[in-house]
Amino acid sequence: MKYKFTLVISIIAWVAGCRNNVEEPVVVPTPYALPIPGGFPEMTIPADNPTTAEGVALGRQLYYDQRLDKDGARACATCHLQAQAFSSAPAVLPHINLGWSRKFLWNGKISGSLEDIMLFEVEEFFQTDVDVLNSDPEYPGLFKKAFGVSKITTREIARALAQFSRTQISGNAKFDKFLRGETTLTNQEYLGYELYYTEKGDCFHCHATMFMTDNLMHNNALDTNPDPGYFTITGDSLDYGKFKSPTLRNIEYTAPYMHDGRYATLEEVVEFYSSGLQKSATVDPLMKNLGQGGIQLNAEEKAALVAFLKTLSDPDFLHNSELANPNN
Amino acid sequence: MKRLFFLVTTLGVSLVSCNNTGNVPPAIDLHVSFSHVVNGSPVQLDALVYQNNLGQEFSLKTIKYFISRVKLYRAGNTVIALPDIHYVDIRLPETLNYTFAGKIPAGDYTGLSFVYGLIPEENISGRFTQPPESLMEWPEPMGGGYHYAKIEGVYRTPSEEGFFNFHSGMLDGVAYEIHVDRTNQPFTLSEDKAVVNLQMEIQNWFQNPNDWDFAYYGPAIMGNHEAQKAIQENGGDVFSFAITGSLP
Repeated sequence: MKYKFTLVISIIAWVAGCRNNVEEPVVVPTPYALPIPGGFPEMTIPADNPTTAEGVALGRQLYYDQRLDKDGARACATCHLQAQAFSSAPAVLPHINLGWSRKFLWNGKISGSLEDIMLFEVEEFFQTDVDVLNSDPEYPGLFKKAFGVSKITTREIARALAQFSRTQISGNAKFDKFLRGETTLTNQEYLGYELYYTEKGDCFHCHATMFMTDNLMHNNALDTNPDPGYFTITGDSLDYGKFKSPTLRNIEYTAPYMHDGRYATLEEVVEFYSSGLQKSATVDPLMKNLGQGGIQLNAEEKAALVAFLKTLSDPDFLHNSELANPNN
Repeated sequence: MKRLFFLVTTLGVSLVSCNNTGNVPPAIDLHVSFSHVVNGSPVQLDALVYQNNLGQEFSLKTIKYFISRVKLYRAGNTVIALPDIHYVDIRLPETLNYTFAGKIPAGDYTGLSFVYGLIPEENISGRFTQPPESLMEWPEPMGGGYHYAKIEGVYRTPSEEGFFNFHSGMLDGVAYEIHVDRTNQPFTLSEDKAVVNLQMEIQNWFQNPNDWDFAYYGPAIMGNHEAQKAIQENGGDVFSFAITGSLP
């Protein structure tokens, strides 16, 4: 009897204790299914940052918030304009399909996941003052819902931005529709397609796969004395003059071109590859006709290649309301 | 208790006996390590220090390729076919050693064979979705599928210097994969000796039977059937193998 009494008292005390310890319900963010276009591979997502509706919404809010910057002067979207496929002059790389990328920035400074590049942006580029976000009336609650944290750190900011960036998917260009059998290319576009995907034009080795980039570093023979590029990261003289191959998706919207924005139009870019190659020590062997100055296209071929490049334009991406400023 | 002890003892002896009699050879992991040499010495990348039979100097920057359809031949006409497709990149150390997915029996083998590249049935666009394998794509306007290999570098003759891109693959439906046959080279595999060191002699790509003229073939050969055929013919003696005890 004595034991029974003790047991009952203990259970009551334990239950009461539990009630006192439970301050808030457990936060369970809502899983978010990324809209992966047909023909695209699955995206590899870190296990410790699954994509959620709350995380994506928070990342989108942050992407457009100038308070991300230590001085409050700029947001991601200040330089990454949706109307320009999330790029801008003079040479801001576009935010397109970065969820499949493992190498970031023109000089390849960051390798790894979107979380890695976003942490770099938050801590080194913006030098975000987390106290500003922690003292905001709304952000702490949004971070709580997305990540279950009571105090915002740069880690959660980077994770939210990474989640939003994974939704910046472009896969509905005319070329995609052509590959899906939903439309045809004009004769001129088709000639450009053949030039792109044969060694006559040979764009495909560096601007490869569905993403129109190999995400690797190359010296594409821009200058006899090239900018150091990847060398500044590795210190290896063999990397001198190498830069990341940018995606050619939405290239029509991302002028000007090259790592220094030297070419204003696609026609100038094609002319460079046709006749303007410059020798230097680390030029990639894929720049095959270096001795002749380039691939030696005639006027019809140059125009065709430009026409094909414009089939990589995805107007839906530019007008996707789910990627737009949530405050507008 | 006594019965239990008897049972356990009997079982233990039985298991030991099985191992000792060798009736069922132990299943072991098969490893392969890849090495690359020029004239028998390890490749020195990015150095214009090599010369072909025509006296043309060359350097090597890129060596990437697929190995597939590995088969091991046992006495008694038993063939063990391994379905793995493995990608090798001399600049990616993690690709230079590979352990096949399935285990194989230890014991004596009469030889092996494999495919350099991919057979047409396995050379299907879209089968590789992640880099680096996906970056070996062979564009649809040239027949689709994947490069078998990319070997790239610089060549120099007395009159010119240029790039070579020794890219091989199936061109417009014509297959040029290389079936490497080493079926008459016996070896023994055991738990502590189960590494096949596969060595590529780069110089042999450029000779026997066809002396490769860098200037003649030029920097772009993907659309050149004559070049693809010459590569296939030269590939017969490019590979050799030896069994070693452990991965390097």
